[in-house]
Amino acid sequence: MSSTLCCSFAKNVTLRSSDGQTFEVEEAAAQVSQTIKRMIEDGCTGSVIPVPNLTGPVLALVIEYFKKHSPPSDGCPTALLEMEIKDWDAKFVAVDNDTLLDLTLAAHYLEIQGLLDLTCHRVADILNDNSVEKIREIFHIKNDFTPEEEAEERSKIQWAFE
Amino acid sequence: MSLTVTASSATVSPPWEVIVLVAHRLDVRSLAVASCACKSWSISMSSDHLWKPICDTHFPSISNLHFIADFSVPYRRLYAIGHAAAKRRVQMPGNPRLSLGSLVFTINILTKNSPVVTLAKPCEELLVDPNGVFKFDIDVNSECSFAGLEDVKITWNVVLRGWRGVFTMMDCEGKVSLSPGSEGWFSEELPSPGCCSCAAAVSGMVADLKMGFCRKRERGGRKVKGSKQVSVGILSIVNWRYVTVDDGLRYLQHFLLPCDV
Repeated sequence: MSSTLCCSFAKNVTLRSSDGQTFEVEEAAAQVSQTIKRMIEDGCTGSVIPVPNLTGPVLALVIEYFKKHSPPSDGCPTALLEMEIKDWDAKFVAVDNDTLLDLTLAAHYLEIQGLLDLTCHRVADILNDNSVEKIREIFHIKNDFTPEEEAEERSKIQWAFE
Repeated sequence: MSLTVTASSATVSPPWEVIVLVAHRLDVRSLAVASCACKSWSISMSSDHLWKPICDTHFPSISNLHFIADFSVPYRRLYAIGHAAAKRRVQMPGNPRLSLGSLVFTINILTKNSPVVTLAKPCEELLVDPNGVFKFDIDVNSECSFAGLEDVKITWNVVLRGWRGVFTMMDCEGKVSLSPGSEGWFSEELPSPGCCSCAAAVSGMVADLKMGFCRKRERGGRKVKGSKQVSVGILSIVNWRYVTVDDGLRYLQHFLLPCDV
């Protein structure tokens, strides 16, 4: 076991969401986020780390993810553990569309590659085989095409509507 | 240090980085459909870097057109025309506009001296081959008693009912043994339909006519009574198989019906 890992185990960091909720989490777990990892490395761990782009409920979910994905104490994840984590991941993103979108954005802002892959994959699954209108609804997208522009855009990929 | 990004909420649509990440995981059709959602999605989801691998995978033979043209063709456009081209290639021809019920086969087989076979048979009275191929066996209920090799003249016409049209499938001369147990086989190349795309001089098909004589000896007598059967059909010279009934009808309609295409 490396000494750095040993030291980081002892430490906790506090994260504060946009609505002022605070969460205490092991520093090693929080470093699943590249953004937070950089902040810790830059010496910002003395006080509370603000995460103003995440609300409390979303940050709570992200911290759940941190805990599950923090490096195992023995340093080498077993195949069994990996399978268990995979199952856990699948359940983790089986949430409503708005929460999924929040998690996607959170993964993006906090640079959590694994979570970003996971949520994007789930988003793609939801998007697949949906209509343009339904996609706008899921993603709260404002249609900024004029009717003419949209007709032209659709004509370019007419084959997809056949 | 704090993360200075605007507050996340479900009413904000995902940033382009996320769109691109998601786009990689969409199936092709969904990617195209999603690109119509709004302007920023359209820009993100029609980029060459997304569509190049798709084109390379689906239509490798046209993917390099992107570089051949003087102006660079977007890969999404290439995919669209590749998709259309592939679809047309596998497009099944339409149903024949001609039906067997509207056709009459007339077959004449003559020797120098006398007719061997003279028949006019409405196709609807013929049994369709169980394999659905354009081949018909016609029993000929006339007696004949020849021996040796004979010069014969054979004509096979397809008449459109009501004498609205005629097409000569075969008009040839040959030698055939008209004795029992023998067979005569004739074929003649069919003309190219010469329609729209088929400017080629060959049709790739031949008309085929087979005469067979079954043995049927009268009791005690030496006289031979032949029961004849004539088989007619259309063969493809590509694989030497009979064409399907529909293909045969589609061929004939070029010559028997006014072209409406």
